[in-house]
Amino acid sequence: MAVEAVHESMDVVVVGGGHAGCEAALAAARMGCRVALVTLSIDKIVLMPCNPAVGGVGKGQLTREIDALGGEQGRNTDRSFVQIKTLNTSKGPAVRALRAQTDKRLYEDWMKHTLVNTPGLFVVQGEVSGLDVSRETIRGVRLADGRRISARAVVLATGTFLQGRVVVGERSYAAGRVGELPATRLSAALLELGLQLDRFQSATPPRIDGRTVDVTKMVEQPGDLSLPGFSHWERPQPRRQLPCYLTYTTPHTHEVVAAHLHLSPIRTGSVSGKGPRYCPSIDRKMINFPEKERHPVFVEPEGASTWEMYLQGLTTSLPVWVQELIVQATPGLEHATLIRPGYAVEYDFLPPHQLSHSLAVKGIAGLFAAGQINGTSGYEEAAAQGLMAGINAALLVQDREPVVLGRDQAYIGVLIDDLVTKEIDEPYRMFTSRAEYRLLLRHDNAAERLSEIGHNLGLISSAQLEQVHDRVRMLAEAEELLGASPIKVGDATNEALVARGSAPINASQPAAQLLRRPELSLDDVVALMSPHDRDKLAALPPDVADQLAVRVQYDGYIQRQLADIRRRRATEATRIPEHFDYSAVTGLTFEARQKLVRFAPATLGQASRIAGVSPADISLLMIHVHREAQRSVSGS
Amino acid sequence: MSSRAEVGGPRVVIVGAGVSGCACAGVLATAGVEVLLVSASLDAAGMPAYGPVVPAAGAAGVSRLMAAFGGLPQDLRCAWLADALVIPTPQAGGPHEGRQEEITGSGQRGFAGLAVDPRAVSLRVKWVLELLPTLRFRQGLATGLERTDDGEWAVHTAFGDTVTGSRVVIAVGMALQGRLTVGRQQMGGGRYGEVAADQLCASLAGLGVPLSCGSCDVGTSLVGSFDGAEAGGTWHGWRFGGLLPVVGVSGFEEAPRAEAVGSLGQVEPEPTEWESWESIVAPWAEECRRWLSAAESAGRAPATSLEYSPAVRGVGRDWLTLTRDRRSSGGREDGVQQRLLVPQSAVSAEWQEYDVVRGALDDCLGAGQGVCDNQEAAFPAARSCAPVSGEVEDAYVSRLGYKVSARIVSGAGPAGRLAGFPGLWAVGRVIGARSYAESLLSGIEAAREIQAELDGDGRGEGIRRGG
Repeated sequence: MAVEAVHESMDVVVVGGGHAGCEAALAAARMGCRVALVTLSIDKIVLMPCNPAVGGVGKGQLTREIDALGGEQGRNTDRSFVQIKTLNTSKGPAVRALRAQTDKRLYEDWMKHTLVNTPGLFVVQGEVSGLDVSRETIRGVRLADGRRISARAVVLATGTFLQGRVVVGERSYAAGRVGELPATRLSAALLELGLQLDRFQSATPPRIDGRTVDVTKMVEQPGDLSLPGFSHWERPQPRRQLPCYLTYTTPHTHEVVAAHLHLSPIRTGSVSGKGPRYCPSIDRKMINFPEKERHPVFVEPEGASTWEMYLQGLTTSLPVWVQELIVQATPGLEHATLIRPGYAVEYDFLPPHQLSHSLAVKGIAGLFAAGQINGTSGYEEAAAQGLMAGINAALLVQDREPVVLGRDQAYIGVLIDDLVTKEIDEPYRMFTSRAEYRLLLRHDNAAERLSEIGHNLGLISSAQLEQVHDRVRMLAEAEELLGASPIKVGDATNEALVARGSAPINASQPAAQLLRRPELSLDDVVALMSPHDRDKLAALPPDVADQLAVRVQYDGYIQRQLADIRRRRATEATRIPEHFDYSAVTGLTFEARQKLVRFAPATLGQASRIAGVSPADISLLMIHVHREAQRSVSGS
Repeated sequence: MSSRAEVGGPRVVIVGAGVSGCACAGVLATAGVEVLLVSASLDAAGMPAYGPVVPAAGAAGVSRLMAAFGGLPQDLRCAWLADALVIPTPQAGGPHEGRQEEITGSGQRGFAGLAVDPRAVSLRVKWVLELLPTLRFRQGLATGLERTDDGEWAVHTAFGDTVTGSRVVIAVGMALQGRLTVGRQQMGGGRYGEVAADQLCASLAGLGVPLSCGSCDVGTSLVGSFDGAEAGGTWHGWRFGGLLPVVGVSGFEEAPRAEAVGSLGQVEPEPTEWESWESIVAPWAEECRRWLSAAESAGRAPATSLEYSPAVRGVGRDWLTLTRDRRSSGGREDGVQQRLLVPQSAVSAEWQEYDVVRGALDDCLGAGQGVCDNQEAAFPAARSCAPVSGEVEDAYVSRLGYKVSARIVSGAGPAGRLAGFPGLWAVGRVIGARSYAESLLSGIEAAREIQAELDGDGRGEGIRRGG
């Protein structure tokens, strides 16, 4: 039958058209592969089934890194946001991040446009029902409609669709998202390959009719007029931004929730999978934080061409009539009508200890997994994994070594390392606190950290890299200037300092030194410099000036983290031989041995981060690994 | 944000937000009737889900199309037509001149139908409906229908939600026990990728609503940039307004009163004065342009950057392509198959193919309607998913064509009234409409009848109107 032979010669097949799948397919295609993106519905590509937002603290850094590596999420967000702002501008630089509210439909349209206009990328509607594997190597996929697509690499990015089931109260039905058919056959195929699957759940709040919201009782949350953007490569086009609105639950809201908690799927047991602790439902909040008098609720537009609004903070899968009561017990929402009830979705995921750091599934060459199937939550986490899985799938096809980012290089490195070395017992979400070196992994320096890698992969053009280099040069020169330009003692200078609440100076000192005073901003210090030097710095673009200030002001902390990285690098890089015999290491605790066998870390650094493996265990391991290395050297 | 007008009075619950459901809801709510539109798939609300072509084959087809769009409130009509593309018959002097009879099935020159962007229509229709003060949306998969003690109808959903109304309109398209056949796969759903309304079907059967069976075919979609010269020739279409995003409209003009609309499927060909498609669509086009520019300058227009960029806007919009596929005929010249490629989406470079020689465009959407006893009967394999022809090398199949079969509510009376079930109506494909125009008409006619009934009910009581 002709249908069998259509796409017989793909290099990479990506299963799933969500945030992970799109990045994976784009990366692999841009690296020169023939890629099929197989999705259950072309009309639902890169749908945002939960919040209409990209970024936030921790997540925003991921999006910046994706962009710096040549991924799509940042650019796609910039093209479709209805609001953007920098969070935590008054806090330390490590927690500053961008967050954008997107127009969901436009977000989908732009991504689809990019996909179909990428040479070598084929968007195919269909359900993957099986994997062709022989001799522990992936050969392709089978579609339920009878087609077969051969490929040297397959990236699984199925989101919540594997055996998906949506739940409200005690009611449920099989669906990947509400109203959409789940993938019912792929789970069985994965189990047959000897892989282990588990269940997670995730939930989304109700959407309400924006016309029924009384915003006079809420705090308006506008975007930044300066219109920053995620992308390093194109500026956001000017647009009118839409505000969000902030309200709070009240004791009355909580009473309503408490009175109906017995109907919550959490209590009735109609949801068995574990949900995200960090994005708790309002039901869960009542159980976990009974002492809190109020919780914030952000009312966010779902787009510029709809009145639907998202209620961040009111996630629930209580029965619909209870949802209505809860919503209406919240100030400003007294007359709100529900458009979409909130619901929970339960799905199969692939516990990620079964993956290596390249996101390859261990034991099946050429099979990769990315996104929610790996037990994460969030569009940014998904896209970051998708990008890396796509890159590594392409590298495999091209017989090149995989790319693995370190924890000191990128949040993406932290994310993947956490996934493959830690027990994931709830959907994983990124926070800055997960990174040891978060002062180095800032959103402002993502391109410096990663674009060289993107360029080597063919995802960042020479012109783009040159742009990064120019910026680095500009920064270095400015930093040098600050270090060399003296601020001279004088009445005007000291008056200005005192006016800023800063101590007067009695000897001339470099501008950089003054800038380290926490009460002074870059602008303050620049104003005190000689007109000649001042003009040079005034010409800096605002984002470069911000970064300059961070580098100078936090130089001490940054140097300390860099020294720490150098110190640990030896341990981090020490490789543990494959099939290392942990039973031969006497003195390891039982738990440590069990965990090490389960996760099979590739380096001592990875081993050290496995929960249950103590520093003492690592010391023992180090001795054995070195001994083994010497033995193999002397033996050869 | 203005607060909604106080709701009250009789409520019409419309189950299904497809072409007919949205038309019905739009007509009712424009007249101030309180409407609740229940949809299992709000992300596809208002979507013409079976492809971009609104066919108008033959004089009857043209009349039907004119009645359908003429009967819609102005904003809904503009939502449909703002970036529609006219499908003309082959150009005079072109390679296909003289074949218009064969291709359109009509003796009329000039007009074969319209091509719309289903995604853009969906976005705009939903937005227009959202702006109607007495219309509300509710996401939910309908699972059952029940007569309440006080004589109303209750609709239950899969999430345990129950909504009631004095009138219920079933507009679920092909979702009643809907089954899709794609190649060797059979899956549930009335539209691709969606959940079928099996429980609702059982509930209707339980009430004694007579059900039969129907099916329709959906064409294959291709992605590629087709060069008319290399393929079988190009038909230049004609665009209504230029693609713009949906924008807010500050006020609503009075819905134009429709000319007499005959019963579904029995539209009499009007004595036509038109000579070509221009005379049919020119007034609407003018209206669309005014609508778009009014919308742009009105209150809640999205920011300028939300407009599709020129790069996006240009994709595959301005032409249709006729291709020849030799493969399917085994290379025999006499068997060369003609297919019309119609742009499906402004953003995705997708095209949907229609077999133009086999028959009128109408058949492509509505073929195979009839009674079948065995729901599980083997369906013919999906149409070939091979790229169109050797002449269009760079195209590939993005979506396989499929056949969808479902239970059909039979015996619906005029305007979709279900005899023996007071207050219960059914519109659109679920009662056998075979094209978008028929679905629209069906929804419009039911809305008018319901409105008249409510006016009768409400005499003395008064129907509260939103403002």
